[in-house]
Amino acid sequence: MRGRQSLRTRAVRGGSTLIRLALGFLFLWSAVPKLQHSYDFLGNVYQYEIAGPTSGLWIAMVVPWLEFVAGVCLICNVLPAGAILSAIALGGLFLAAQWIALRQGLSIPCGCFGPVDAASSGDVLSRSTLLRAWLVLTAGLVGYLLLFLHPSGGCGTNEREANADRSVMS
Amino acid sequence: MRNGTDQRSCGSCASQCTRRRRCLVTITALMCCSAIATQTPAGLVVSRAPSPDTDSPQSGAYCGVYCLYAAIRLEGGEVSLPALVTPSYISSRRGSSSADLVEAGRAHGMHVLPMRNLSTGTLRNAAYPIILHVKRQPGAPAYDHWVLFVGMDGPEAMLYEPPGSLRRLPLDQLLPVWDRTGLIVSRIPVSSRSLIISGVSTPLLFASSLIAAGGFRLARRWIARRGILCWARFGRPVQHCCHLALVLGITASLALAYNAFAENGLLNHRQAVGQIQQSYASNFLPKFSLAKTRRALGGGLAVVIDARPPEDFDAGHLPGAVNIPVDATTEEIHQQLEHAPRDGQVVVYCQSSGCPYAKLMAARLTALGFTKVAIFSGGWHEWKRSMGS
Repeated sequence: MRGRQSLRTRAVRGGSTLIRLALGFLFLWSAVPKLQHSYDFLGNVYQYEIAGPTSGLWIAMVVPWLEFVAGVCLICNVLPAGAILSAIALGGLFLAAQWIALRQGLSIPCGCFGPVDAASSGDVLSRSTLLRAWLVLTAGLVGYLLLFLHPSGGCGTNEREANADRSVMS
Repeated sequence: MRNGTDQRSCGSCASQCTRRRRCLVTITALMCCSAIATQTPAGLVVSRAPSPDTDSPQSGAYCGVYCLYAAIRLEGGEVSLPALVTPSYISSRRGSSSADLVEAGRAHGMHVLPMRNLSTGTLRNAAYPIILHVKRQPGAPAYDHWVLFVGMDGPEAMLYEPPGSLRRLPLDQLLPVWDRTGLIVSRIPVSSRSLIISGVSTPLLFASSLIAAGGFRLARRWIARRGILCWARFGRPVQHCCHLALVLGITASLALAYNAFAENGLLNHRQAVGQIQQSYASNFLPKFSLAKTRRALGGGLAVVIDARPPEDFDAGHLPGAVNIPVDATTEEIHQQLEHAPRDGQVVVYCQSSGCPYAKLMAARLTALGFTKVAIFSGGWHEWKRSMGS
């Protein structure tokens, strides 16, 4: 019984870490080119035809930094709940924006990982990019669920739960 | 006696003036001899049509080698233009790649250093000509052009766009069309100073954020040991809300600080942002659904414009629509809309949602002073489908 519980705890912890790291690196990978080419990203945001001039500017300023901060926090396991909630929000935002753009019949670059080289086939908005956004959202939701099942240690941990975990382990 | 390198590294007015004079003399000479390269070299097909929206002279696939030629001459090197205009240095129909230009420069005894993530600060401090990778206008989909940056003239960048003349462009107008890639051309190995200015941004970003995150973890552990600010006491929802607020707070501070103070920050270059917004102006116009277009038509107050060619219009159109093809002259537009009030509702459509004519026409009408222009994005296809069902 004790062994089975320990195995479950380990599995939850492993799954949580895996999702945390995967999402963290994915967000960092997508944030850096957007930060380096912020003017291109602004153009990308306007191409979606959802945001106005001012709201688009704010999106272009904040989204890459939110991805960056969430990515670093997820990798370093700092403020994990906040970072994973941000990841869920970003996944939801990307999914909604892409779904609306696809419904309008727009054929535009996704802009998901910064500007693409004109020579390459490009990362044009399609069902596969929509699926990717949905996967990010789902991974975020699963990660949040696992975080609830197995909170990280330190001050953030509920003392009673930490003690219960320790007694199970021993 | 001071050599050329000393002059370049010296920031004095005298050296800058000497350099500027040298640029002007060399570029004038280049403009005279640029006609040599208008012949297509054997085995190379140049099929790209000039962009209609730019008034700059077009050099097609030769822009890269032209720029390299000018840069080598500026640096005092000896090279003939036909020696550069070969298929090995213009590897595709689109023109020269960065690797082609590096190879060409090195073959002619120059040091060509490809750099990414250059900043406007690098340009301000540049002591060498830099070939910049640009696009022709902010809204263009691809970076497919090279221009030569030869120095700064006050707040403006001096750019040579072969085979045209030297032109001055404010950095604010350069930023939206430059992908921050550049090839530094020099006769001597490029100093590490320019590398430090431009090359460390990404690793620095990573290192500083990891250090900050590590520091934050340590601080949190220290606080936790002393029992201060333990959010878990208030339950998990409160704890998670606090985490989220902290993440959002850090994000907002970083985003504002970066965009307000960084060299390429969006708030730091309002003119560049304005230029981008202008090039996407038609994207901000209201979109009408089928129902809304029907209502506008039923009310009889809206002017409906069909932006398709006359043949398509004759084959079928929305009731009461006026045909103004997208390539109509301004006079023709004025004639057609003579009695339409400038503040009245105008609805523009074309074939379908993928058709760009409606947007182009809407942008033209807005520029002509019509204040309430909307786009029926479904176009004739959606209208016809709704009539059939």
